[in-house]
Amino acid sequence: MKRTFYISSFIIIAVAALATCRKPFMPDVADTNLNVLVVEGVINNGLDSTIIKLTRSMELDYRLPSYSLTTYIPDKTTIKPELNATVTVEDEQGAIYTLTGLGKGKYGAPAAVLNASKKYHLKIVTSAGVVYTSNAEEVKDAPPIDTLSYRIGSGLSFYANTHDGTNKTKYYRWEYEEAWRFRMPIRSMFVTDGRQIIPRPYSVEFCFGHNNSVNIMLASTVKQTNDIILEQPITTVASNEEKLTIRYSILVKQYALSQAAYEFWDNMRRNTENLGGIFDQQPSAPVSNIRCVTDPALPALGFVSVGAVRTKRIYINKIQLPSSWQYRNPNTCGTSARYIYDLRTKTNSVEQDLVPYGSFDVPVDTLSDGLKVIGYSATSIFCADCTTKGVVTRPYFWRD
Amino acid sequence: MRIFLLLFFGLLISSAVSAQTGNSTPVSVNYTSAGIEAIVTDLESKTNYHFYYDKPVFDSLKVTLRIERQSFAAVLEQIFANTPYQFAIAGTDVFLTKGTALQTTLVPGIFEPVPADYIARKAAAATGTRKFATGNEVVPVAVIENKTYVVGTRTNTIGKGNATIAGYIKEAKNGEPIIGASIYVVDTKTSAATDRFGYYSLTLPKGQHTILIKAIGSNDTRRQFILYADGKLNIEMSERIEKLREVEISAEKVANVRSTQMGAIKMNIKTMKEIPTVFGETDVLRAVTLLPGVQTVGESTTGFNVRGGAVDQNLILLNGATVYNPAHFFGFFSAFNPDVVKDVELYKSTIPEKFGGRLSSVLDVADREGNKKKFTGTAGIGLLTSRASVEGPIGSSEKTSFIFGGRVTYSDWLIKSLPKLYNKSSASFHDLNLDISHKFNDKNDLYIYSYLSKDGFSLNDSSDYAYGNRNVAIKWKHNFNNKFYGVVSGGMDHYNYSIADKDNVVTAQRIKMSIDQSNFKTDFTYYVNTKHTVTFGTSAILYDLAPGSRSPSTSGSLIIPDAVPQQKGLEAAVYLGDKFDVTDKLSLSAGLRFSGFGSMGPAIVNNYIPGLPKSEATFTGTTVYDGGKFIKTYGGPEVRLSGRYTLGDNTSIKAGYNTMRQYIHLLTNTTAISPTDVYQLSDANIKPQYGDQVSLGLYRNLKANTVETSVEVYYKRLRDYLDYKDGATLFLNHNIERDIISTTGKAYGVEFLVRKTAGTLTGLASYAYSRTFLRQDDPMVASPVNRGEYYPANFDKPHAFNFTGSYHITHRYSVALNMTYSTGRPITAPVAKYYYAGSERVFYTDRNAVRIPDYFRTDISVTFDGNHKINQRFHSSVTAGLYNATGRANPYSTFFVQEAGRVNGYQMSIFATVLPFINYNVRF
Repeated sequence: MKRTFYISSFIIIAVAALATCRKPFMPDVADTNLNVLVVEGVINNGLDSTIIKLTRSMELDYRLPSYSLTTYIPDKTTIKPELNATVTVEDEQGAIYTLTGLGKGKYGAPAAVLNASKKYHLKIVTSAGVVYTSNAEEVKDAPPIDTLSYRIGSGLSFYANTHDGTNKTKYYRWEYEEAWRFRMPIRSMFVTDGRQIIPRPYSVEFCFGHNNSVNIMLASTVKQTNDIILEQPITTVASNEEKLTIRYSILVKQYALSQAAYEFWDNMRRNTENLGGIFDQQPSAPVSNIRCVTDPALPALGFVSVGAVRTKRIYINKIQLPSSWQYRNPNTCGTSARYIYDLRTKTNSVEQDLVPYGSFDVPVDTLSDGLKVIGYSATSIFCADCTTKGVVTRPYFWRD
Repeated sequence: MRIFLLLFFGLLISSAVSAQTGNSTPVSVNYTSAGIEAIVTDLESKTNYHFYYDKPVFDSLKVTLRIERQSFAAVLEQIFANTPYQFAIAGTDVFLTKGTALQTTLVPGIFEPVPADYIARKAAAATGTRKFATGNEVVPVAVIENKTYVVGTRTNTIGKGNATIAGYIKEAKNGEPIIGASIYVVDTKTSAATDRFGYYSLTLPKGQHTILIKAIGSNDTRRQFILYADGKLNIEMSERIEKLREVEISAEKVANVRSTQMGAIKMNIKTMKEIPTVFGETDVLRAVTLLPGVQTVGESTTGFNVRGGAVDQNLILLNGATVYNPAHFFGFFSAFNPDVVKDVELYKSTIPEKFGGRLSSVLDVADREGNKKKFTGTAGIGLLTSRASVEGPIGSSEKTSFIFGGRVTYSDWLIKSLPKLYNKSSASFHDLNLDISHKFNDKNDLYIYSYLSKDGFSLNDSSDYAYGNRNVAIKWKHNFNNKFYGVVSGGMDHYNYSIADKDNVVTAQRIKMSIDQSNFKTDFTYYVNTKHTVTFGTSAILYDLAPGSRSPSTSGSLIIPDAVPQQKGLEAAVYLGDKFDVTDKLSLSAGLRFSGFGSMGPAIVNNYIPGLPKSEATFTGTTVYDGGKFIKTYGGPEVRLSGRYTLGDNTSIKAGYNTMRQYIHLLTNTTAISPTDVYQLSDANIKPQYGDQVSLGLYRNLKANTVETSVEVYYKRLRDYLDYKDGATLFLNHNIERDIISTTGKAYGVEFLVRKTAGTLTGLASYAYSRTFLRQDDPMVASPVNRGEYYPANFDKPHAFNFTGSYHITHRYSVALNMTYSTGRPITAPVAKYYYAGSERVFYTDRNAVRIPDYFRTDISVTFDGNHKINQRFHSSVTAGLYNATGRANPYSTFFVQEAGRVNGYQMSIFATVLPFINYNVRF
């Protein structure tokens, strides 16, 4: 008996170890062949140009390495723009104006004033002749942002304040764009042209960084008697970020939404944060106001609202912030020498390390024996070239 | 032996010479303290009868009697009234005995062929009857087939009109009532079935009748009686010992075609024991899921879905007590002890009006009644569980009995041997049943049922999970008269769970949920006449629900205590039903149940702007209600209609319409029932669920009722079904109504069932094509799932095929096979990614648009029985088998994770391999 028990228990152990198993699973979605037209943008009323971005959804390949969902900054190659489409803003009677292609799937038109008593929609005819249209939406102008306040706590936090005296807006959405000026720890005077080291045509010591909001910010005042938004959190910049080293600017865009638009954004916000687990809830797709006219089965995604977008920009200088707030460059920035004739290695280390394009070392200054240049001091490109994370060109809006 | 032979030949002669019968001239007697010799001499002189008796046995008989001109039999009847003496007449011979009357006829079949009217004629000829007094004394127990019993006070002539016969049908061996036995009256072609107490009632024309009685696990039998007036007749049936030729459910088979009930399937424990299961343990719930129209979301999930209903839409009753969690070990085992359970009945379309409170089905699990005659027991030893049961009489009066069953698991040894990652885990469960039944007298019975189950599971010493059921029920059955009886029952049901998390000192917490309900019920049955049976009753349930709380579980914990306030509610119902046999072919059942629910204080109720979606935005404030006050009441009628029309002896068509209301809801927005799902009562902001169903079925029994076939179609609608906003957190949600989206649903399907209940091969095959769709058509929801269109429910598995069969190779060896196939259940999967509002986002298909792979499983088991000697002290059997014999990795769940920058899909399988098992059972 004991022996039998032993044997059977052995079997059970083996079984239990194998019993719960995890295997790759590829949902059989090939036949859906999803190629969703993604429409993003607002038909702007009056104050600013209308920019509509048309892209296509991309396949989620479960097998091949795909783009990481943890990083929110899109890899340029992962965006599939919809090019050569005809994008028209229409009212109930017909076309009002046509947007012109700006490249990368962007279509734009200069600011135009809409008739507040009419409804407007977007008509998109793709290069393949497929027609999409957005639902006719009422013109819903966002009220102006009253103030954009900031508070210094553990970081620099920004808040939007607004109100609608007519109590009509009720649903709000915000986006922001931030820009900042920053400086590299080492000033590089020289650069390679691929064949030799030449003096830099322009300085790469100071640059401007740029970033857009990645989170969906929404608020509703439906429960309030007055349409007032007080201190809607926009973003918080950590005290040790490079953004705050010289001068920082934030532009907050305020949108007014219809209830349907609010639900669309709210759904998107909740559903695209995490992926399903065992006891996770059912995800779902947001309800768009875009649909395909020629073939209703063709999916489209997006919510095109109509109305004025209000913006407000403020600047924060380093001097306004606590002096203890310091940015620490993750790279240890020092210089090392490269010689045209390296006595130790008996090679031309300038040619080897600094001249080729794409080298991670950049020349900083010349090294001289008193008579002629014998080499260059060099540093990491991440210590001297600000174009690695920004642009030299001053943004058009930038005020010093 | 010599006497027997003598009688035998005497009978041969008497039946051969049929002309030679006693003369029918009336007899007058006048005795004063007459002894047996005086009486016999007197009667032999006045008639041509001859008496046989054993003189010393009758020496105490003294008769004082005066009778003028009555029949010979009537005279004998009065002479021996109120004495232990019996008489039997065969031809001109009269046999006098003490105690049991002599059988004067042979069992039919000894001399084939038996004329069809043999029994009736013989019984009519044999006027020797035994008289039973009516009133509150001993009710005759009809044990013998060919004896003619007297029901009602005997009169010289049989009166005109109808009378009612009623009584209990019990098993001879242990006195257990036989439920669902069918009684068929040969001459009037009427039938009845015993209820859950084994009670029957028949209204018949006065006179001689023969009834055929069939019941599960018992030998078919017949009884004869002369019905003089209303009276009682208890019938004992003998258990069918010979296992292999048992006609398992002949009662149901007849009932299958003849009853008005549709979509009701009864399975007795013997049938269930033949189905191979994981770990070899007979599983009541798993057996139920083999039936067409019953589905589960996956293996090891708690609960099942009936005809497109949610898991919480099933009312699971154990002896009338509500069991909220019918599973152990997260669904690996069902919570019902197979040694104590007698049978289960699943109502999925025509739900009798006495049940209510759930939309989809009623699963009625009945325990056996303890053996009233002797002590017996069973024991089973499996690899993970052991169980034992004992039953027997209390006292010697055969009036009281008990049955006690217990199960315990010792799976810890198994877990200890798992890889290090898990070996600090532990799991245990046990359950106990103790049922007592007591018969005060023929009119009053008392039943006490109790049930306790407890589950504990600890994962790596860091979190403890525990849940348990506690149920107590008391039933008192009172027979007012033959035609009318009532049952009054009351009970308390409890379910709770708690999860203690103690891994991190700072975040250590304990979460709890509990539900208590007290119920009181009255059920009355009135057999008006042969055509009408009326049922009526009331029911009240008082709920006390603690929907969830969180508290620090260690002293260092920084968890802020939180609790959703206690919820109280009263559910009450009255019902009235009538089963009307219009003609022999057409039978109708009509019932009306009026149910109501009141949500009660103390409570703080959230108020919202009417006509707008309930959300933070439309929240206007709260109203405080004091204890005991009704906050909001709901109610309405529930219709239960069904009809049956027979086409020939073996075929019938049935149709039914049902409406149901449900006031208690399980909040769950996950695919499988998650361990932290909580219950919620309807209240001011949450409407009760409502459903109705229309069904039509064709039933046909073949091969002398051994093959039972049926086809049923149904269409069902659901209203105010609870669905939730995406991403809603349901646990500790103080404003759950804001996340609820009231949903409508429809379900339809066709179900085929073939059951073979006799022969060397028994089993069932079922196929169901069924669809379940839900739709969020609430106009207040701005972005309903799938644009407000219908989408398949989580448990929408269109094709489901089940086969379970057992083949008896010899009397001692049998092989059983299980096959289950179903379409994979739908899931919502990300199918594309896109860039929007500064982020890359994933695009989901419509809800439940993708399906996981199909489910297919085969189980095999072999049972070796010990020898079949009836009088052996121990009967043992060994069952061994393979679960999931093909080793297919059936997906249980799927999930998507991001790993090193990739979205990867995974499927989890439980029992993804062949699982051998062995079980040893012993009965004593």
